[in-house]
Amino acid sequence: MPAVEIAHLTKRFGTLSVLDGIDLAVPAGSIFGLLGLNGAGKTTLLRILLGFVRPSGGDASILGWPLGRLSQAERARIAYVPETMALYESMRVAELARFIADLHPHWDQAAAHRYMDAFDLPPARRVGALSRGMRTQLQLALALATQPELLIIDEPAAGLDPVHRRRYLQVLLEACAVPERTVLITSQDLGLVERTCDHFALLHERRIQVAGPISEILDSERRLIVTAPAGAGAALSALAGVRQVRAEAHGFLVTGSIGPEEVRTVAGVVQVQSIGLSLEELFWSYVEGG
Amino acid sequence: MWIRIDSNSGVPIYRQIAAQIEQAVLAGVLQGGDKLPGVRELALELAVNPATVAKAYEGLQLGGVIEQPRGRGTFVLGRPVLEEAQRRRRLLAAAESLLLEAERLGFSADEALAALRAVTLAEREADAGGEGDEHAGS
Repeated sequence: MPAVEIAHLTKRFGTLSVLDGIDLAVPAGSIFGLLGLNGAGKTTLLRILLGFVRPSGGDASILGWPLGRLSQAERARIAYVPETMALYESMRVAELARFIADLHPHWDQAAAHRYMDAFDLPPARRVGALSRGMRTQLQLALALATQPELLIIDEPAAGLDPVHRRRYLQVLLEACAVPERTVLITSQDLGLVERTCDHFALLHERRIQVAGPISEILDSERRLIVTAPAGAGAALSALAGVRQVRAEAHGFLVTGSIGPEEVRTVAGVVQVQSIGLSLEELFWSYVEGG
Repeated sequence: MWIRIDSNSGVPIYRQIAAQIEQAVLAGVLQGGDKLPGVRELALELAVNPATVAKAYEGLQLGGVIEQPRGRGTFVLGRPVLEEAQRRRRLLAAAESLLLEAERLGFSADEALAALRAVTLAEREADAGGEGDEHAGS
């Protein structure tokens, strides 16, 4: 059973269509990255899943429960870390942890200490006096200590310098390397998603453009440098699997799920060279269009 | 660990990991029988998803670079023994890039071949010369 399942979901704000027929399954135990440009609707989608916003149509379920039917006990199995979070600024770090512990049925005090130590968070410091990076780390530590089955993070590691970012990702990966925990993150940082996630989906122009296991999709996709006369562009675009054909000075850059052999069959093609494709280039090939 | 991940290289991360381990084996930095870190350990060290490291190891195992006896860990098998077809493919790829470079520089295929022969001859002479010196010295 997927941890999150979404079918034909739509959302309109007045006449503005934000999400239009979203189908998505987040496999249980996965670390899932939801990618999209600013304003693509990533946060709206998360807010629908969390029950803060009602969808205009379609269905979704979280941990097997339909939207809006989650009881208090099931809600306690979900942790949400928004990009910016109002914390109790006048409390000390340790006080805040105790405060949340009292509210939470699954709180793990030993884990809380372990994560706060890993981040070197000073327990006696007032929350309001923490740096932005420390706040980001504190949010993760508190969320992990509630032992969530589903952890949802909006823009993880935002505002962290490279050293703290690495530590943050290590703690996240270590805490989430258990099969019973699913992580859903949104991010604009393609490198971070490629590194930390095993699954991803790209939300663009109100729809999911591509979704699935990252390495399988990257394996099936190629970028080919094709040396061919300008007239060959149309024939290249017409090949099955080709998504983007970009004209270069003496040829084309072709992206899609296609091999060099198929491209060589196009009349006029002189040379085909396969070059690597990272999540970043895959992203651009969808976002820039053909 | 000396493995470096470059998010901007355009190469999938699992291939970067596998290629760097294979290079280390080819260079003799890693040798037959050496133990590699476990999947989770290396994933944490590099701050990457464990599935990525598992995929890199899987490829290295298929390629005969490492072995993973059940429950005992991950070990280097020695210099990778490539199959005939694989060796041929790599040789052709190298030949193709030589030809491309020659074309870029404005040389013909024949001139590229001649250059290859010249290099081969020069190497042979250097080898012969080296041996000669040794004899003279002893």
